[in-house]
Amino acid sequence: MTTLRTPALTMDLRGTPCPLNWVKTKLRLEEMAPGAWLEVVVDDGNPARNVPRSAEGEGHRIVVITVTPEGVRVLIEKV
Amino acid sequence: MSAFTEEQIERYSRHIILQEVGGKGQRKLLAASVLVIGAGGLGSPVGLYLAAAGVGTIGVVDCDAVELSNLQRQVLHATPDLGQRKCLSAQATMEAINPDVTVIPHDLRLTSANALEVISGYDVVVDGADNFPTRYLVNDACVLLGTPLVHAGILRFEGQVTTVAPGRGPCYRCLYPEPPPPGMVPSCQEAGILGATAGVVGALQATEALKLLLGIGEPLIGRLLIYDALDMVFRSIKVARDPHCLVCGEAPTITELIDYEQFCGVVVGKETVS
Amino acid sequence: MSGNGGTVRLRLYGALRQVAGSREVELPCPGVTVKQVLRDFAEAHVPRAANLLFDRQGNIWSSLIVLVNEEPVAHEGPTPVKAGDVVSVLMPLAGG
Repeated sequence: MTTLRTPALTMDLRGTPCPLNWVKTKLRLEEMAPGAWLEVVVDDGNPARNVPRSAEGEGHRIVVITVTPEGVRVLIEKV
Repeated sequence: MSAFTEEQIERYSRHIILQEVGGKGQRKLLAASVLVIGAGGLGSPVGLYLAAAGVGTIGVVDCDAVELSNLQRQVLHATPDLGQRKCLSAQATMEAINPDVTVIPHDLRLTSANALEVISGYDVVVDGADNFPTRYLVNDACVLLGTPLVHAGILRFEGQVTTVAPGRGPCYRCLYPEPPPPGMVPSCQEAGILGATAGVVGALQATEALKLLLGIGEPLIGRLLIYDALDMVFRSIKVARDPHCLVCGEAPTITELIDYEQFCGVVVGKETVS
Repeated sequence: MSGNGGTVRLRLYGALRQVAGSREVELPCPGVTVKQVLRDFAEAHVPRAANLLFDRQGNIWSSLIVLVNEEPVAHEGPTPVKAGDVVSVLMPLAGG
């Protein structure tokens, strides 16, 4: 069971279309140490589907996805 | 590490998405320099794709002016460029595609006197020359400098591509110790060339150059890729380093550059190369 | 000429194609060496082919890459060729 802790960084990618939202997420992840957490906030719909899928496709771990009225928060652990 | 601008993130997004490239790879490309020999049939697709990819510095060597017969295949140039110096026309086209790229035009013919100076400082050389003397000269210079070289040649409907990694794999001379006697084989001018064949082969060269810069995939080191457009067949054969190679062998006799215009009867050390 | 019947296919690349007038030539008498196959071909198309195929000492020109059934073979030494084999001859291309 994962204990949630404060992510190292939060990126607001609401309004950023696919695939740029994933590109920016990926660029940020590249600069982080393995094990660090990055939270991105994306729009519902395609972004909320594509970003987690792309992150997992690159081997990162999705810790949790939280759907809120203000957007979808995707918590990613860099692997 | 400098950050990408918003524009760069969007421009290179299709690269960054690739697992083998990413932001790290794109930074490598922006910091890299490639020298393209010839702004013609092969040099055109090479220049176009390397500029689009964001290779930060691209040198273009060509001493000719744009002619009408070039336009059938030399897609760096267009009708309004007729009469312009080809390296300058190439520069304009490539820099328009990508303002991140600096193109250095070398409006000269490579000779034994200038080749080392022109080539040194570049990370990779792509050979798109149209004559044997230049190809042997470029190979020798790259071996002496230790600079990787992506070689290709075309004729009619055929093409060949190989990558020379000095010290690691065979060089052009290991494959082809000497050029044919002058007059024995035609140039594209005499024999003709299907424009798209140049496009395919040049794009293969650009691919190899990018792979070398990014350090990904398996370059054509020790392999010769052969393309036959009529049969639409690609074949690849293994080629080995020649321990007796005059420039990269165990006892090289070519230790400085020579001009190959008069290849017949040129004496290199104690051996007569004919 | 010795041989046990059948033919060998000789595939030509680069400038050699124009010399032969076609991309592939069928030659009789397999069971001989690669050198013999090229000699037979040159005899049918002298002198231009011979100038490209052989050097002044009569050896296969050093800048030819010869394949038998897609495998590169050394020029020196007798490489046996049998019926149904495909001999390919590649040479450098200068165009760019």
